[in-house]
Amino acid sequence: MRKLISKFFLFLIAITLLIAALLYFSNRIINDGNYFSLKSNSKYVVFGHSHPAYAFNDSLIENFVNYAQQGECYFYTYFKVKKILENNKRIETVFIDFSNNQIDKRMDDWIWSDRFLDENCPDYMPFLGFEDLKILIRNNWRGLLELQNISLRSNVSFFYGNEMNYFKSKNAIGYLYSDRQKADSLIKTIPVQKSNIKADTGISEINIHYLEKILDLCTANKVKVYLIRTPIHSRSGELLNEDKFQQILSSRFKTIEFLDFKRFPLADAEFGDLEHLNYKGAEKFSLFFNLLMKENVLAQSEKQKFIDKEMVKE
Amino acid sequence: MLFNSINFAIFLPIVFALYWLLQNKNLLYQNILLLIASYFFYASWDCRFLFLLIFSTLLDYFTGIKMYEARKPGMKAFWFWLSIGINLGFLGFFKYYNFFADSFAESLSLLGIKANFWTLKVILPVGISFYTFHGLSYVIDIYKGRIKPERNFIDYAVFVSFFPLLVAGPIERATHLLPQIKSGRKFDYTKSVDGLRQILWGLFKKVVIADNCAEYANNIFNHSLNYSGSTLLIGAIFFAFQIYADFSGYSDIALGVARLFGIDLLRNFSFPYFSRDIAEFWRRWHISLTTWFRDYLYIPLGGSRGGTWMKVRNTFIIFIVSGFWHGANWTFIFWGVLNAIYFLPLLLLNRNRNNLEIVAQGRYFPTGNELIRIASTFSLTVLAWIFFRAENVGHALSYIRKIFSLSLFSKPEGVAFIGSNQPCAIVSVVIFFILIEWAGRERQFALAHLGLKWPGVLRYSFYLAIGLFIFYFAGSKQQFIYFQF
Repeated sequence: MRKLISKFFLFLIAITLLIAALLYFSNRIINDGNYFSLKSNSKYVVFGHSHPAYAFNDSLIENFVNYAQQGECYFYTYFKVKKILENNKRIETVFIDFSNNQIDKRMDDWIWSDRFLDENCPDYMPFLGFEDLKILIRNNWRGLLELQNISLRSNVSFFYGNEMNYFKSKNAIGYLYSDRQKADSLIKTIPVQKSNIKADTGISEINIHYLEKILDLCTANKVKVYLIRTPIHSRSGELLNEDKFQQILSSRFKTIEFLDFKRFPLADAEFGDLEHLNYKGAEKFSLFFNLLMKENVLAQSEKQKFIDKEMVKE
Repeated sequence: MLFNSINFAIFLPIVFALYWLLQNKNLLYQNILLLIASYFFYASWDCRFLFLLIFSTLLDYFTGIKMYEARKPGMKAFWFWLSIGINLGFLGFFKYYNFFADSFAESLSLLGIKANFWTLKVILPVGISFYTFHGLSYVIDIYKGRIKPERNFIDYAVFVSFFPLLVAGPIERATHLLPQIKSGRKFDYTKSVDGLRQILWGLFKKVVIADNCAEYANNIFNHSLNYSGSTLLIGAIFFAFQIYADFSGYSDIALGVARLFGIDLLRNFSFPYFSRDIAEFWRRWHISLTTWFRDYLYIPLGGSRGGTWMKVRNTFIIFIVSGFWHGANWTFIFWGVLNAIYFLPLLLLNRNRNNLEIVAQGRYFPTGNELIRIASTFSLTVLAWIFFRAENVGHALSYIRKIFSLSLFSKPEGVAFIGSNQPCAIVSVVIFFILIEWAGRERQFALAHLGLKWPGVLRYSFYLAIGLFIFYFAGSKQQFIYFQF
């Protein structure tokens, strides 16, 4: 019996060490490698989740890169910003999407629920530090354990793939084209949405903490940083926590400038749904944003007033 | 609690350690521990149905004793039919109620009569087909005077609910398992190591082969209208590997786990895809179910004795019942009928026992003739699996029609093969799997003897490589297919 147990544990230890070594070295190669360069003319980058991913058609905006990713919360965005800033010293300005749902308690699920963990975490495993891992272990150790093989596969597929940019080699990063046009039908169901789906559930302290870390990172790298809210339909249920949203903005991010495009004039047909733009809306908004940048909006002392004035012209 | 879950990885070592700690105490304690562990294992699926399992166990335990003690043949028959009736009644209600209600309503509607039977949202208790068949074989054997009833309830309850075989077999016989439960078990190092090897190979089959093939097979079968004949053919082949690796992988883990507890279960698979004809395939596929139907249905019906008509009738009955056992859907019945059609010519020409020995025994390679026969048997099997996997008979027929169309010669659509792993990597591991299975085809399971004569370092490196394969290629976790039966 002892012989069996000792041999079995020896086997377990050997395989665990082998797997740990493979994970460690593949993560290390990615983390230390130069796989995060943006286009040479990129000076402005936007990060965030699906809202900016659908809103900014970066082919229409000069020197601008959309690095947003659907379903991504600040917890993961932090590592993306870190690697991009470390490897692209010419970046002058970073825009961080700050939407109403980013403060919502449900963002915790975007960090560690099985679904989002499987979708996001493997791509960011090479960059997670001890403190970040502790958060995941505390909240979903099983999920974290079970995705290690996906993480190794993700690393290996990057080594064998043709795409040299690590983040671009992963799923659907950047501008998302959408030809959906569901705002009309969704408005009809709005009472249901407001009462059931978008109920206020509290604040995600962890997600907000990682937004603070992103802002600190930008400051440390001497990069200008702005919080930005992309156009959203006035009937969207996500706006229900607007008071809390404004309160957090004014209390915890009062030193960071906030560019609000919530009221950017768009027809229902230019929304994919109540939170996301379709390609028509994205084109209109991106052209407008490009114009603002050409008019040097970032040099204005009262940027929001300037933006509001320009939006009225639209 | 899936065999390939973290929960089971925690559960098994705890039960194993406690079990062997009790080795020198009392056999009763060991069996009580096995019973508690088995009920805990079953309750982790759905504790509501634990009562059904306990009820079924009590029913067969008491009717077995009552039958044996009955002085009058009438009373013996009463207790026998009571047990059979209640067992089949439960099985019929949980598994077939909606099927019969729907089918009856549909046939009446063909006659122009509108009938609206209640269809209930009946949840199928996990493993009901398996433990009901355990109980049935026990009761039938007592009735036929083959065995005496078990007086020790704990021993009998362990026989019915021993956790490795509880939810998907193998379907055990009292004559084989009860004596092992009743006799003292000593820890056997060789047996345990053999069990661990079988678990390792079972996990490889399930996690690497079955779960990855399932991703492609599910995608192709679920969207078969969008794909060409060539893609559908590949989808059917992937399903053939999925179902074999899934079920035989489960059986390997079950047998391996049982060996850790010093118990040998009935063998369930014997490399069926290396069969040279359908009769050989059925001697090698789901052996515990096939032999159950042979002993408790086919032989009582007269078997292959009697005239041609009798043989044809009995063959169709056993294959249709076998198909129906798998689930309440016409697809399973068609699958059974198709296999009966494959089997019948061999039976009528008296060739059903032609290939009793292992293919290419003592040789590395099969002859050209053997290879052709293996390939043709596999092709027939793949064709039949289409019925098994399809949503309904119409879906299966349209799937087959498309395979036999000109689009069979077009390039398969790449979009069908999006999964956790690259398709070429999966094809490579399937080839590796076939080679290992071929190398071990003369043994109980593929890894039973493979590498035993190699130097220790090489052997352990080989096991480590398989472990690494399991880790790396683990596809999206899929339920074991046979849990739904």
